[in-house]
Amino acid sequence: MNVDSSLAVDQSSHAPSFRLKGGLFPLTLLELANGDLQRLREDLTLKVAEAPAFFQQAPAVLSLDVYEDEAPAPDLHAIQQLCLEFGLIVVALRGANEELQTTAKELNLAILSNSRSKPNTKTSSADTHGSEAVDPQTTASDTADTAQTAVDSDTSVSGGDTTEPVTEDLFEAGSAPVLEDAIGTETPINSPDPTQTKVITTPVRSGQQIYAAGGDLIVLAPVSAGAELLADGNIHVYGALRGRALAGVKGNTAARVFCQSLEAELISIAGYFKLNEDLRDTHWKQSIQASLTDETLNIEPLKARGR
Amino acid sequence: MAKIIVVTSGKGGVGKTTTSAAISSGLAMRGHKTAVIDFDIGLRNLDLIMNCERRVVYDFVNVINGEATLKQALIKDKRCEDLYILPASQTRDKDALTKEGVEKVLNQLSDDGFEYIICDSPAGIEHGAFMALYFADTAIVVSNPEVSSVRDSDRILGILQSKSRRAELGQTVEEFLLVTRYNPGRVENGDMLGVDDVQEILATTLLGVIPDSESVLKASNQGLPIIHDKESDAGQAYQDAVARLLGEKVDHRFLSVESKSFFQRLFRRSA
Repeated sequence: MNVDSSLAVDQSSHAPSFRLKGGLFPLTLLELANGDLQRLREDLTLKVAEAPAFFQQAPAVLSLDVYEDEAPAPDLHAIQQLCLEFGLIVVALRGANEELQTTAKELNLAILSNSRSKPNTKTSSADTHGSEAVDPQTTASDTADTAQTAVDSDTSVSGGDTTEPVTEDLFEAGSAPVLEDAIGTETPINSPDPTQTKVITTPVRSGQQIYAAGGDLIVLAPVSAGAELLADGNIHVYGALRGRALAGVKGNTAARVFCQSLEAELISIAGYFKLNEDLRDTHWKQSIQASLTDETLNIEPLKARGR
Repeated sequence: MAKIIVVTSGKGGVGKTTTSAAISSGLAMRGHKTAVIDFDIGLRNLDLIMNCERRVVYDFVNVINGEATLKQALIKDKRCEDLYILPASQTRDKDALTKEGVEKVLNQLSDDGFEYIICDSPAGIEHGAFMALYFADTAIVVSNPEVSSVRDSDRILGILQSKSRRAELGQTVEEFLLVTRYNPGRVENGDMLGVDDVQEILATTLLGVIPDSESVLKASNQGLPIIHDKESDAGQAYQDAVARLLGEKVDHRFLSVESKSFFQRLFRRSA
């Protein structure tokens, strides 16, 4: 199956045997600190015990971004097998040097480009969120653009199944994930159902429930009391949020909720929630973002930063 | 093709039947051939408001079941040349309505040259209300300026845009908000939601605001659709609403206390 050369033909010919579609998938990023297999096994056992459901056939990207410089090179094959034991399917490698990339190719792993930002990505992405939210429309279109870039780049790459490193990267303009190389066109990567950012442009009414499986949810209209928004990723509401918003419903504690006017019945991130009566005291009817730190749900006003 | 307009609300007692009678009469008064169907099977009311209860022989369910022809069941309004009423059955329940049956009747009305078909929905979000809204091209959502009514209206708007035939076809149902029983004095005192609040919550086009008025109750009891009462605020507000429904630009009236006449203030005091 030579995708690159057949692409143009397929678009014009009458009965294509397949379609190439872009897709954005949330992937667990396993940031390896060192190659100590024994410690990895112990830590994974603990993590799996915390959330067993999360590790069932979950695709993961092995990241070496924070790998200790002096530590010996990791045994990729052993790590892959170890992860598999715990239900994590390693589908790609990020931040690897050339030597490791060769090994990865032998293991049928996709190679992802190194992340732009240094290990402390969380804070920097928070800044991005904060400043971008000043102009909601821009954020929405930026996201769409970035997603589009991802789609474009994926299309140029062989292999129908596309991967997307982490949701945070969606918001770093221009840092759309690029699959530098994809191996395993004969054996497609075992990824979950295709999912991507869900954009809703009409009001979400009382009694309606909208779930963005595997990605972010963006609502460009008010959300009424009695409506429910759910997303595996972040939730953005460019309007009044009067209903319930549950981000990171599959346990993603890095997920956030953004809204233009906080009038919510409930805001939840990865199961940690605040009810209307607790929300009313601060920032009521203001633009806010909700994030989770150490099992505490924080509500902060959205402000322009650094401009 | 006839334009199918559902008058709905979710909540009961907000003025759906009054509105159905007024809007259908208003359209007919402007020369549009209009049919109004009572979907409230088992709780027939529209015939009373339209003052044709003594002329009901066959009803909507009879037509659906093939026990009568549409022509036999339609009652011609005595005041408006172009208005026909299809009454509900008082002895059946709402399960007598089927999608196929309702569609058949609507298609037949359309074929008979009706321009507008007004569906007077029962309260609730169950089968009867669903049947009334399923085929709608346009919805008039009636809401009183109080929180529970507004929330129910919101719910019904959600159902319209997700479960109706147009929603299934990937189209949208044109939606209008009609606020009834509006009392500007009580809004000023903070006892009642203002029309801006209602509109902000429901985020939809405002078709009209019908002021709370003694004349509405009086007209209902006399079997005279309020729109015929050209002296009353409510009648005039319905006239405006019909004009807006037909695409005319008309400013909203009766929103503030100043416009209240001396007589209406008297009424309020005695109420």
